[in-house]
Amino acid sequence: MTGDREPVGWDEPLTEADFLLLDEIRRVTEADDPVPDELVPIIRFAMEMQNLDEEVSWLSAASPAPADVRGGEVEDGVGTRTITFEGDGDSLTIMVRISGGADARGVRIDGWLAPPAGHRIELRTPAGELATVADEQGRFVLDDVPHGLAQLVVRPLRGSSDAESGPGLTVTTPAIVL
Amino acid sequence: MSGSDSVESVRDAAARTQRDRLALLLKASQEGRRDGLGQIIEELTPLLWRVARAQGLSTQDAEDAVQAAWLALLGNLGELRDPGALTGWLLVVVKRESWRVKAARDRERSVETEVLSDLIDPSIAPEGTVLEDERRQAVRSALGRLPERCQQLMRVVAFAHRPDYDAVAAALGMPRGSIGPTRGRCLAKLRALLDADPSWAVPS
Repeated sequence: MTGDREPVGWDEPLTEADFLLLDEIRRVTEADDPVPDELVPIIRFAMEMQNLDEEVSWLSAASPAPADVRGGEVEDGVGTRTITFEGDGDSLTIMVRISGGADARGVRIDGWLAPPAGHRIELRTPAGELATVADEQGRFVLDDVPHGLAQLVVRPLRGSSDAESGPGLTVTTPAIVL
Repeated sequence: MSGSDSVESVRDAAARTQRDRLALLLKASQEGRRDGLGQIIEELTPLLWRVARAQGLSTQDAEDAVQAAWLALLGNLGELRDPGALTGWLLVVVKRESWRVKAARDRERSVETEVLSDLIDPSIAPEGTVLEDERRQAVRSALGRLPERCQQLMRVVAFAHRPDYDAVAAALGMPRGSIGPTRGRCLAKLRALLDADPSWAVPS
């Protein structure tokens, strides 16, 4: 096929045959790379939790990783995941280690905040919230966390000395599946 | 009789219905309510997912980018006066978030950034009737032979309504008019490839 000439019919209006072809492309593409089942539930969960007038700083998982694993996520093969959530510039970084199998005790989350500070930590789940406070090294633990959808929210201490974050600037991670 | 007109209007009606729903949703959200959010999330998420994947993100990163776009919407409802602008707005945010995630990666990583065509193996055909298999395989094969950006455009725009074609092209960095109101070069190329493939022949 020559690249010199325009393909036939490129400047003609779209016809029903074109739309049928696009339908077929959609079906093929969806079959080969479907939207993950948990994505819409995760989004709806995260949006329900979000207050409309709350000013929130959004973190995302970022650092190199093999394909098909969240950027900041590492699995060690024994059922422990480590995820690092970062924001832009000097904003807060949260590292969490998620451990615990499918036993009745649920999931344990060990977390570290950087820069370290005793901020309030909330874990939002469909069943309600778990809350704790990080220590002055920024370390926190949440235990007996149910499997399923979860989202971490960090509320800075009042009178935080960190001029970058400022009081009231809540930080949230994407909702994930524990 | 203009058969194509009547079928076009069915599609346009679907687009209008979605736009009406968006208008109601925006009004409700701007008043502090969340009615109708769930449905519009279901409707638009596949398109946003496709854009994030077209940027070469892994499945997990694409999920996060799409989630980020929806949450960004909540913080910016006041910006949106026109419900018709919602889809385009979300597309821009998904693309921006996708680029942000990619930019945060180590450039020395051993796994190359995947392009969408690498993620999809054109030799795989799902179960189905023989005829369906052949036609579907013909589409897969033809798509795989398009230039990369055309392939991206085709795969993404297939999830959008016609009024949003310009917004999709813009989100992918393609020139306006790449598709709609005329066929455009990418779709014309694809049709030419299919016309040359006997297994694409339309059954009588």
